[in-house]
Parts: sequence; C-alpha cells; structure tokens
Amino acid sequence: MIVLLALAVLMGQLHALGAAWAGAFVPDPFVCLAAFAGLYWPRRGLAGAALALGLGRALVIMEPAGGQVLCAWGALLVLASQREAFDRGRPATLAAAALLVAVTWTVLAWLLALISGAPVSAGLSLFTGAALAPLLARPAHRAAAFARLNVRRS
Amino acid sequence: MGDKGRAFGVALFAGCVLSLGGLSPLRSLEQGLAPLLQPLEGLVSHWLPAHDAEPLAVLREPAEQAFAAWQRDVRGPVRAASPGRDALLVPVVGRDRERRELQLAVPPGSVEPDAAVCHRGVLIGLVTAVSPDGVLATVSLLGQPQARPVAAEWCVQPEARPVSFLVTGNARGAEGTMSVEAPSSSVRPPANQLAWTRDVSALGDDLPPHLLLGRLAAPAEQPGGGLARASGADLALLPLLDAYAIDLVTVEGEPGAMRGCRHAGARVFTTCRAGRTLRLDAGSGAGLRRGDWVVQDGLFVGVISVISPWSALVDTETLPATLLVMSPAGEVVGCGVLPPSWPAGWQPGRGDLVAAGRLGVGGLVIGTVEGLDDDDGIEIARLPPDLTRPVMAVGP
Repeated sequence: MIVLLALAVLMGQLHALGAAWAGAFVPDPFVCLAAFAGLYWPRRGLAGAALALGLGRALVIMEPAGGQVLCAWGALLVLASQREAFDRGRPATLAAAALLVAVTWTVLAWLLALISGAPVSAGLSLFTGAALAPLLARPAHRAAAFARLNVRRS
Repeated sequence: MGDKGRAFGVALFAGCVLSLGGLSPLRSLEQGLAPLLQPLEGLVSHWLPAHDAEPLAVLREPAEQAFAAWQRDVRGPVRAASPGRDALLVPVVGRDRERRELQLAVPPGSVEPDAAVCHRGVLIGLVTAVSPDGVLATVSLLGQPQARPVAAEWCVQPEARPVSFLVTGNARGAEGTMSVEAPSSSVRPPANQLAWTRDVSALGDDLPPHLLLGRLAAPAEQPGGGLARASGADLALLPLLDAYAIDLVTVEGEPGAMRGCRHAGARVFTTCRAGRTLRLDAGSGAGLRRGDWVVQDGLFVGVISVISPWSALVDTETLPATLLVMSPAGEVVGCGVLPPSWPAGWQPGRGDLVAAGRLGVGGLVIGTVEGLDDDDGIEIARLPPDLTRPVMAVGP
C-alpha cells in the first residue's frame, strides 16, 4: 500500500511537471497505476489500495482527499468486478482497463462535485493517460508476478 | 470480508464524506503527507519553462501609486481624530455580522476605548474594547443596539441653521440602519440628505466633528398629514458604506504609533499543479496562518486557505475585499469585483490595472481588467507568479 501511495505521488508529480511544459492534455500515467491495482490487487485489499491512490493523487492536485479516494474506490470496484472478463496477459488489456478507470473516475468526480460542492476533478489527462497503457502492460504484469499478486489468466 | 475489513470500509467512507464536507482539521491532516513530495521536488524544481517577468515590472510602480492614493483616500477629507490624537491607518482583521462588530489590528497600547473608527471621512463605529496586550481593538458599528449615542446634525445650506439630533442604535431596522432621536427641529430633511457628527466638545465629548454618518431617510408623507414629525422616530439614518467589505480604516490613536506586520518566507511546490491552488513548503510551524496573503516581488498571488504544520495551500482565486482599479489617467477607484460595490456611474475599462495593498507590504499587482460580466463583475487577467522564486506570506 505504501508503494502504491509513493507511486501515485510520483506519477502525479511527473504529470504536473509535464503539464507545465506541454499543457493539461499531457498523458497522466496515474490512470495506468489505478488500472493495474484494479486488475491485480487482492479484492480484500481494494479499500486500502483506493486510500493509497486517492491520497496520493489528492496530495498532488491539492483537492480534498475524500473525493479522490471515493473516485478511486469506485473505479477499483468497477474494474475488479469485471476482472474475469479481461485477459491480463495481453498488452491491450491494461489500456482497456485504464479507459474503464478513466470513465468511472470522471463520472464519479462529476457526481461528487455536484453533490458536495467541493472540487473533485478527473481531467482529460486520465483519458490520454490510457494511451501509455500498451507500453506499461508488460512491466505491470511482471511487477504483479514479482509481488505475488493475482496474475492468473481468466 | 471480515469484521475488521468492514469496519475499515465504514471508517474510510465516513472520513471521505467529512473530507469532502471541508472539515478543517481533516483537511490539515491530509497535508501531513506533504513531505512525500519533497524527494522529486528537490530534483526537478528548476525544470520549468522560463517565466516572463516584464508585465509585473511594468505594473509594479503604478500599483504602489494606486495604494498610496488609496491610503490618502481612506484618511478622508476631514481630520478623523480629536486634538492630541492622530488618525492611524490600521487593517480590519475580523468581522462579526451577528454582533455588528469589527476587529482591528492596532499598534500595541496606542488605542483606547471610545476611539473613532473612520473610512474615507465616514464614521463607521467606535472602539468598545481593547485586548489585554493592546494589539486588537473591537469596534461596535454605528447602528448596533448597544452603541453609544452620537451627536449629529444636518443642514441644507452651509449658512443655514443646522438641525441637531442624536444617532442611536436600531434593533428593529435593517442591518446598519441607525435611529434618529431628539431632533432640534420638526423640519423634514430633503431626500438623501447627508448627516455628520456635531462638535459637542464643550459638553465633554471629543468625537471629531464633520465626519459623515449616513443619509437621512423619512417615510413618504401620508395624505392629509398627521405624522408625529417632532418625535423624529420616523426618521432613520442609512449607512453610506458596507462596513463588512472594508479592510482598511483609520482609528484614533497615539500620534506616530506604528505596528509591524507578520512575514514568513516559503517556496512553491512546482510538482503540484491545480487550476486555482498552489502548495507552499512551509506551514504553521514557520509562522504562516490561514488567511495570510501570499505575495511575490509586488505581485498578489493568493490567500492561504488550508494549513498544516509543514505545508499550506494557497487559493489563487480568492481576491482581497478591496480592489484598486487604476485607469491609464491615474484615477484610482476602490471597489469589489461585483457591480453593486462600484461607485454610481463608474465602470472599469478594459486594460485598467487591478491592484491591492496591505500596510507593511505596499501596493500589489493583481492583473488587468480583461472584461466585464453582468453576473461575475470584473474579469481579471491575472499575472502568474514565478514558481521557481520564493514567495512571502504576510499576516496582519
């Protein structure tokens, strides 16, 4: 969980730096990290993973952590519920999972912002970030195997 | 899922809801993770696109001039202090609408109860209490039911005999409305007649004379007459200013008394980015406080909105209560963003300088007028700060 938090912070910071140079549409690799957690993280630990991802992202984008944690939790639950439909060994799988995370995150962020009035953002960079998924799919699968996460093919 | 897992889930959900609700201690706690940002920040903080400092350099001096003009304006056209006292410029640091009070940060030990508090020649209230250390004065606004009576007068022409009366608090009227009592004449004032303080020093009241108090308002005359005109009870005095929108006033105090303001340096995290927020690498442990202004080389950056011992978040969209809009001809108008706060018949022009000012810091550039909107008022093209240079948090 600590590693997930540190990675979420690191990816957020790198994206912020990239956005300073090239604008807000720079791909955000965070969405791939969330897709990785949704595909491989043990179901029992999804709440903890959502806490780590949400806290890390909220820290970088300076929003109330509650909104980002709820978005992460919702996105991970949706993705984990569809886990069996994904063939986790294929490069396109992480991209499809990242797109699903981006869509869920965006819808939840819009709803939470509407209900609470607090800033809860998703951003188009999550969608462009899914484009990085084919590059990251193989390292992600290897990392999951190394960390003894659930790498069984459905 | 076991009982522990379920309890963790419930606690997490409750925490998220409280965080979204803006619970201040929780928001501060969230910032406790800020040291996690430091490793990468230290490596890449200088890898940013070059910053164009020229627009700020051009506007800095006009902003100083605007604030100097505003300070003269706040002091007003008439002397706002009794003989032997001085009208000290001080900032408003607290507002209590329920008790109709303001709090002022004053030079230590220089202000006493019953001192007059004015803004641009208008008496807005009197000091009713001073903190034990003498640095905080509580002001009861005129119109507050417990406020002491003030001797006032009005007359139509300078050489005419003035009508004197007492201004007292009004518990029943609209907020800020004052009652008129014991008028010396039953003559009704013309519409929108101004009233001002009367010299009653012979009676032992040293309140400075000729300070504006408000506009007299009388109900429309009933057909056939029959109003109890002599009582004055039907007259009311309407305030000239919204006292809660003012952030700089004068208060009677010891001549030459000065007070410093709180400063603390900080750096902006370059690897945290959001539309309207910046993160500072210093927090309450370094002397920063919520509500402090964050400035950089004469630029107003924003206001600290969330603070923890190690970090602070700066809201860059919050603006000072008083904006100083300066036209190319050098005319300075103090106003708010929205049209109701603008002087009658005045509108800012596109490209006008928008500045602000704080005692101890001077004039600060905010940006220029980009456009006008019926709902949102002045649209400002803000100047961005240079994220690679340090900023300064300034408290009252």
